Amino acid sequence: MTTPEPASDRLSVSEVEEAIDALTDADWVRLKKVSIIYARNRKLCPGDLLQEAFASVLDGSRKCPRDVAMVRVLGGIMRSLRSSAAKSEALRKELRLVPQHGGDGVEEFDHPDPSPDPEQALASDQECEMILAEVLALFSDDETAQIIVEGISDDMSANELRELTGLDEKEYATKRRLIRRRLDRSYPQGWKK
Amino acid sequence: MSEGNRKKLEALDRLAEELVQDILLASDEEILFEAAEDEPDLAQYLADSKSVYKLARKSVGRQAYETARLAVQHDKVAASTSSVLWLSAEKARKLLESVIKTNSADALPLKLAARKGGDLSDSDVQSLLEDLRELGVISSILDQDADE
Repeated sequence: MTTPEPASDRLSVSEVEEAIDALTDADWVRLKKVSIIYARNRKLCPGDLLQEAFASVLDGSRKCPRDVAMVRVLGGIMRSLRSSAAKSEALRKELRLVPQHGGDGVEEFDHPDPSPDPEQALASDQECEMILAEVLALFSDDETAQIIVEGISDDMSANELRELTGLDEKEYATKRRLIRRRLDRSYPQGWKK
Repeated sequence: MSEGNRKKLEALDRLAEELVQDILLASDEEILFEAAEDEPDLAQYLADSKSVYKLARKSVGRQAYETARLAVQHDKVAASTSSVLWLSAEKARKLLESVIKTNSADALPLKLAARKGGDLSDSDVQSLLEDLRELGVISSILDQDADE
């Protein structure tokens, strides 16, 4: 009598396909939202980022742990791809910060470089500073949200931020949701208005 | 990249991480409610997401096909560019005779018929030379031949 072989802790390609086929509508929405967020800070196209993540699990170049939900696996891969985006010309896309209010009195930046090097593929000094300032300005009517955004940017932990703002876990989660939703609506396609 | 810019970019990346965590922690109902709020045509929005997967499948399939095609092409090129096959029938036969003369019977894994040479067809000679080349017996001879 033979003992059955223990299942691998990684999904096979056919199991990956099954897991993707089993994604819910909510998962598809999550993946699209996550791709937009991860693409924002680099010159990436969200669709390309997501496609690359799918391709890497389908061709087996990225392994899928059996005990992690597919949507989390793909999110993790997109995060990793974003980090290494500078190495991948194929994922690059022009990033242009456009004026917030019709161009009056708002500085425009000169982009793009036709042959960007890896560092130029990231947002410039001015862009990063302007994006951060714009994000904070979005919450000018909500001091707590502003403190949380600033704190996250400054690498404060959720615990530290809860302590600082006096919010409990649930209130903090609600505030974080408000922040995300406002950013979603203000920047539906990356850091473009 | 300047140190200052790196820090600002890291700040934006940390913010991105928090937002992604929030998306992953939200319930299906919340996520679908948001999408319905933001997207006038939710069905189209979902179809767009799913089309990305179809594109990925196509691209992986195409890549696998291309890899297989290149492998077949490589094998064909390797066979057609074999040094031995470039030789004329007469030259190949002379080369085989020369190899047999200059190597002891123990050194060559050839049967008696092959050692006689004359009983072999041109293609048998080519085939034998190819085997000897793969065994490394005639590479130096071919090199010498090419030098001449």
